[in-house]
Amino acid sequence: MTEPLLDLENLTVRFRTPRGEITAVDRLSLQLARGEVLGLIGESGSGKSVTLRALLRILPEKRTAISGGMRVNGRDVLGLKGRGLRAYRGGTVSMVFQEPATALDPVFTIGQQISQAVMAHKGCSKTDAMKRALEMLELVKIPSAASRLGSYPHEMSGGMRQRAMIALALSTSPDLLLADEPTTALDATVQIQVILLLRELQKELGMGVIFVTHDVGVAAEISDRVAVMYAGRLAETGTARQVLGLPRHPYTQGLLASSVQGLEPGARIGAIPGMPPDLAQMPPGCAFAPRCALGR
Amino acid sequence: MTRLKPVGTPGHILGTDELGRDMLTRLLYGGRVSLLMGIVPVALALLIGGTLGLVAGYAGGRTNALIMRGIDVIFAFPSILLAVAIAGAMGAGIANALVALTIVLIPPLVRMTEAATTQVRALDFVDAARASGAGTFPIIRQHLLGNVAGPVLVYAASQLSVAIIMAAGLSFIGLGAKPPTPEWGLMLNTLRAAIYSQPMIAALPGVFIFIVSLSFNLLSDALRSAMEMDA
Repeated sequence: MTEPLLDLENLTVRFRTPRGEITAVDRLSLQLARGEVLGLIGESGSGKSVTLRALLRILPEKRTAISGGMRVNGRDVLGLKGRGLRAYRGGTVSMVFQEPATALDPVFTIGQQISQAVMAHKGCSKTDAMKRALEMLELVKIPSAASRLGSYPHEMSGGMRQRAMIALALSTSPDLLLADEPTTALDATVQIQVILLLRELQKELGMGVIFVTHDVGVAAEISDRVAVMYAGRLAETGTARQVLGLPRHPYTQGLLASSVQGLEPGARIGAIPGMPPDLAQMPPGCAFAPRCALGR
Repeated sequence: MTRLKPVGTPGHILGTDELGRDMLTRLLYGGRVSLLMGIVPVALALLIGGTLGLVAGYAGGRTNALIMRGIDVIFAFPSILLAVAIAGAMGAGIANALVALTIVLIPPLVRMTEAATTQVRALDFVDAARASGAGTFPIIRQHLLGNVAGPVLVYAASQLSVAIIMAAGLSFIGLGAKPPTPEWGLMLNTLRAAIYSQPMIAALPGVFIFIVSLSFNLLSDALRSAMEMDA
């Protein structure tokens, strides 16, 4: 078997807080093959975003302890320092953020922001970097791309900003794209466009994608494989068809049941009773046990 | 008192002072000193205070606490009182007054920059810049400075008028410019004797101080509206 693009082995992320130590990601093991899309689902606070940020090592260093194995392209990410780390961030792995409104710097034009990233990674001239920025904007299908190069983020709509954000993330041709709920801040119609675009680009460029979402429908749309997280732990993983078609973990079953899809208008939406556990005071054994229908 | 000529005297449009010197000339030359004493301390304070604020805001934690608590110590004194104390301790003179004004102007600029930096640093684009491989220095220079510069410059512009008034105050009580240097605050002091015989002339330096500081306030207002970008 060929080496996986991403190999997480017992990845554990702990935060030191005034209330004591919190385990945000607990012994997470995942593999991702080249050109594969992994949907990472879970509710707020389940450790999805933390996992992505740990992958890029952009969590506040002083208050975070990361342990376990984290390899991208066979290279140990936790051992990277200085220049190597900067080349890895963006060059090998890049990220699309949830809020395109705050993830783009308001005082620089789209063209400037993309060309800065390109220049930093490819070491090319400003003219070439701008050319690349234009190509990227065309790639993400921004209308009249040439004039949009000189636009500031506030002059664009939400969907357009997110396209620009994707263009920025892809401009350095990463092998792995991390998408942190890229459609949550967008209108439903724009959401579908962005998802289809991401799927198309992923096929075209053959990169691996981790797509974080709490929307099961979105995950089903885009993913080859799905991983479900609960309270920092991996609850269930498998192909999208397996996990979403025949969920085996009671949490996944609960998650799928709490969807509006296929419900009669006016019918109550199913909900999982109780609350996710406090990460500082985890119950012993299975984290889901106190809310589990089978556990009683 | 014959040397004091009233406003409108032929050859001396704004009259002459108690030593018979032309008021218009002295007011114009005094403007040089007053502008210098307004702009230089603000520029220096902007440089020093802005840097400290950026560092404190970006570093956070202990570095932040160290810088900000240090600034609080200076901030605890009323600014005019502190300027008088420093200038008094160092002795009269324009250079010493400049130093005193700079020290007094630094704390509010540090606070302002630190608050703005802390706010900007929490935004996603700083993380996004880190995620795309930018180093610490480029992030501070481009993303933080670029976003913080607007409000801080507006504030600094508003401090120009404060500095000019404080400079005039220092000179008025004899801690700034020394005679015969024409300085508005100093002129205001030496012309006090003329307030009953030639009130217009005695008031002239004050009018100039008023107009200039008002102008700087309007400038800072204009800067503020020019910088306001609605997303």
